[in-house]
Amino acid sequence: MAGLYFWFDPARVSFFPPCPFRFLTGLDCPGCGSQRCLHKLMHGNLRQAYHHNPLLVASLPYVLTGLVLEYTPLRKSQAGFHQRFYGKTASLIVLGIVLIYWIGRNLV
Amino acid sequence: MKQYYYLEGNQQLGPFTLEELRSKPLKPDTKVWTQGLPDWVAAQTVPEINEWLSRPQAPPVYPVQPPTPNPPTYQPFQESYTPNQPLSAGLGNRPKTWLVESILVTLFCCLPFGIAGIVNASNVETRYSNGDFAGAQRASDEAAKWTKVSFFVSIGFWVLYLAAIFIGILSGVSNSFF
Repeated sequence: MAGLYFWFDPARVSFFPPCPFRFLTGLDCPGCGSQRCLHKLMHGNLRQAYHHNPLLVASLPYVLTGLVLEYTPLRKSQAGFHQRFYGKTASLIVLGIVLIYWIGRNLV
Repeated sequence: MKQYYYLEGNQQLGPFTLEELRSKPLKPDTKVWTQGLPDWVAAQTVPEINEWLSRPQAPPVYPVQPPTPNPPTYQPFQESYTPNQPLSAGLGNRPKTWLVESILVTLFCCLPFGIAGIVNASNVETRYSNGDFAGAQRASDEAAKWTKVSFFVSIGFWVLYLAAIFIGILSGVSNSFF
């Protein structure tokens, strides 16, 4: 799977599926551009990755930290931080960012 | 003489006679049991205890807590309590919120279902901090459900898409041959 995204550029090859939401509505969703973005990321091309889906690139540090917190012993030793990292405030901030991004990218 | 027991936290205390029980820090909702009762019940539902529970005690044995202005904060826990399970059953760790997984499916599965996951992630903590452990668990299950729905729907979409291309190629090939 990862190999597919590494070897083929979704911007040029047609066997990567389009976004169902975009397919149905013609609008961008928060995940549109993620496949192209991933391809660029795997080639270390941050700038072009950012161009395809800024939110994906911006959320990488958060997501990686979150995965480490959840699936390593840090979960126990940093329980308080884990609690806040996955807490209500964090969720609402994420929700806000995603919604604003979703609306914003369709306006720009 | 009837023997009475009551629960403090999840610890069973007793037996006490009715007289001894009077000196104990019972509240109207403290769970008590005595012969003839099928299960633990709130102290106020036992007539002989409620008789002196409702009367103001002259010097209080211990500082009685003033009524909380916002009862719903602890009510849900009472609702979720069933006598057959230990009182502390719901008091475990906060259920998983699925926040990061929700973000990932929002970004990669191209389906707005991930948003539902994020909303439920925030509900997990809201309910957990209100003492509604069963509700927090429900929100966690919902969040898990939405991340999985999103994940599998997009996998399904992918398969359909590949199948469509495959059929397209096949028909293209067969057209050029026949």
